[in-house]
Amino acid sequence: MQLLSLTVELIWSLPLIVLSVLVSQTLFKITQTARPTLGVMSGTGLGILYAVAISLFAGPMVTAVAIPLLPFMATVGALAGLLSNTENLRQAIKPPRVYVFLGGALFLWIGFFALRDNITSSNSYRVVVVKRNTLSESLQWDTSGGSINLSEVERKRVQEAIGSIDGGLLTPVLSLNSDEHPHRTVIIVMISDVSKPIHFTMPDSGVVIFIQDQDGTWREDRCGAQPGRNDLTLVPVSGSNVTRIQVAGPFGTQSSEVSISHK
Amino acid sequence: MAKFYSALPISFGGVEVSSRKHLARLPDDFHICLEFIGNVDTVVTCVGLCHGQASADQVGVSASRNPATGEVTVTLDDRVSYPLLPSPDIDITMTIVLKQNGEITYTGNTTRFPRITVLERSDGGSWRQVYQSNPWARPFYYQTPLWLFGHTPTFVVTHRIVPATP
Repeated sequence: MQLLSLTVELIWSLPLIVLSVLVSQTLFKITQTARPTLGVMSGTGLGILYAVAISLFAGPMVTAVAIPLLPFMATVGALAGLLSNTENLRQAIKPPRVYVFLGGALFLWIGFFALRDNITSSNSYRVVVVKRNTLSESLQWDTSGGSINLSEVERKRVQEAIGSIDGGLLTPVLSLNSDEHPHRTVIIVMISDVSKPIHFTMPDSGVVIFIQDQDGTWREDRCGAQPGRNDLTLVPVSGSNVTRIQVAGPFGTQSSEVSISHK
Repeated sequence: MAKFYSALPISFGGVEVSSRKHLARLPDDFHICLEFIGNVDTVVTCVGLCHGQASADQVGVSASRNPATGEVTVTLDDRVSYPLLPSPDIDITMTIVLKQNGEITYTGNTTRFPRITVLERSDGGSWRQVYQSNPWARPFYYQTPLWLFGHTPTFVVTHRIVPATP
């Protein structure tokens, strides 16, 4: 499977190789001298542009390749630019230039994986829906157990945000995580299913609590968390007492459904 | 043990860029439907699967349940049909854990498919959407190159399929 993905990736890189060789040879004809650095840099640039062009066409399918497409195409473009001319290659393998090229390649790959991890982490989230049964006079947590865990700090913050005047039995009913170690948490305390779409903004980091009051209005407790870019929407599912929790971000949408009014 | 249901309607969501239009001929939606029959507090007697992909017959599906722990594992195997595209097919691995208190946890990751929806129902009730991943639904087209930094999406969904016994 990986071998097939790699083969597909190599087939995709063929136009880039041709283009990179042509550009490098043109540069050689213009300058009438070997320019290995110029060949590598033009090939790298072409590779990055080529990867961006493929991503605009293929969208999320670019994640299905065996080797990450961006550094792969940049490396292939650089190698094609370098190997297009024997004089370029001869000069490139001499120290210290060869060490500069190897260092640049290492920087490209390490930098790519670091940036990718950073983007993935900053977009990870956890959404917990807590059902609040207002028939209970005192505000307390359901102790019947379960694996939807909220920390003691989070539980205390929820209680403080609801206020001591209002009562209710609090039961976590849904947890939706986008990652094993989410970067931010949204806790939604609901009394009933929504009747119209409600839009919230996810935090950049930390914990934010959204609370539905008995009259159906919403309030939020951000406690210093700055609003982020991703949107959280509660959508009523027509014909049923069900609310769809939808998170939209740069990597598309994820959603789950919960029924609060269901006894 | 396993039940297969008929395909749900296929739709291609919100991709308006003309160069991508031919991708619409690819299967674009995939449904996994799981039906639980019986009281989760005691025993689950059936796990069913359905799929909304035209050519999904070739997909390898396996489901097993450990009677001691109640853990059900569902795996859908990978498949390649389009050699010049990076396998725009199913690649989903999912583990389902059923607990005695009625809680159910889905853990998995999905790639290579425009949209995947996991549905469940219990004892012939209505279908409920447990999880949907739609990577094509993006607010701005210019953000598409961000996918060059994309990871295999992982999801963990936990909820109660039946109310806990008081």
